Amino acid sequence: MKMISPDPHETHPIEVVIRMTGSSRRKIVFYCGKGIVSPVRRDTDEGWHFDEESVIRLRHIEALRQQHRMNWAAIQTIIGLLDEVEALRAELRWRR
Amino acid sequence: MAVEFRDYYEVLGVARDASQADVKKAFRKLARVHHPDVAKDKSTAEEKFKEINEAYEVLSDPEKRKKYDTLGANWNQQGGPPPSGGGYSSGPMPGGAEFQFDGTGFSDFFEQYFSGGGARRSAGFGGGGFPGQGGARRGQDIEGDLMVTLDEAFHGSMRTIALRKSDPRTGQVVTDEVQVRIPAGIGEGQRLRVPGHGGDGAGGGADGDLYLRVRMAAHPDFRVKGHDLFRDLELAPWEAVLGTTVAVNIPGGKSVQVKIPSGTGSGDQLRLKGYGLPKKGAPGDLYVEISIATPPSVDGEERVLWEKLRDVSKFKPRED
Repeated sequence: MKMISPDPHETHPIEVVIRMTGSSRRKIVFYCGKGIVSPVRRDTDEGWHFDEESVIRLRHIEALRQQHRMNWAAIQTIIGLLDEVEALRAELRWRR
Repeated sequence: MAVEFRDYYEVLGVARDASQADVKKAFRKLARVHHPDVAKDKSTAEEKFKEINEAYEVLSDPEKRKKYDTLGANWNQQGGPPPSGGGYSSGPMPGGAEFQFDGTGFSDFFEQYFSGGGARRSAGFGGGGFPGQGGARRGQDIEGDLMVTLDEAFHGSMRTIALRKSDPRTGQVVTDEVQVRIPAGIGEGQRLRVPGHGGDGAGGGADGDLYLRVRMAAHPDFRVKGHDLFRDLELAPWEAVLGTTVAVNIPGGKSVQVKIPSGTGSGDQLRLKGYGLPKKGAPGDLYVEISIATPPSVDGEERVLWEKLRDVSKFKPRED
């Protein structure tokens, strides 16, 4: 049986993130500018690196954009609401 | 795929109208008996502990409990429960494939109705699935909850996860098994990505990824926030006023001596540095939250002494 050792702290260079998410460099730079994702490293030699959470978020955005044909305003609203739901859910689990 | 109904009230041994406080009390009582660290029969303890945790996961969350109560009321009507509002195949799955997990610590029943905070969902509204070169389409990402005990978060562990994919058109079921290493120091809400074990790609596209979202199993004594742990410690009034040294249990069945300074009040927190979950750099901390316990009743000499203290004390807890 195959064994996988996932590393939740793994980071990926932007070229890999583009491949993993189906996004583009231009779009990723745009999302960074809007504070939706941010690189964990900005090495001058090796470029931007993103963590696993950013990859998931970019996949969310691409799915909303490509499969559900949402515009940027709708995507921004949904991402914001999802963040709020997650924060409230975490708070609820903490208080239980 | 058919799933078996779970009676969470029966698992915790509480009435259907039990208050949240009663649910919590029942969970703590059972969890102390069946916790793998303390149980006499280790072989069955882990399964039982996970069963109790799953029941608590649902009944301690008002939203999930409400949904569970609705499900329960309708379970045997017309051969099954009402639509769950987004079960397995809620996402735009290519071909409408359905998924079930084994080895996550949660039952199929939980997976179907409560995973992901309400319903099993694929990571990211069908995350993945984007077109690749030459019409190839990447497979869907699949997300499921993974119950992780505090002990696993401390030491790491290995899990065999089985993902059963069924095609409702052909009835064909394919099981994809993979061993997943859970790294030490993993925390609530973090996702573990298992590449290539999600939905099948189409037209030569890559398979999607499987995401396992960590849900920390509730512990009878410790609560987890990030890499820090929190636990309650009750003190007698005189211990809080005069100060004392008490043995405080830490994870792993050990204890440390903790000096309680005089004048400690309810709600005060004492930080035990480095006794939290492992973390790159420095481990988290263990916070001991103080509450003052009072004797349920006093009489005889004890009462006389409390009355004497009342008369001689200059302490004024209120400003009036």
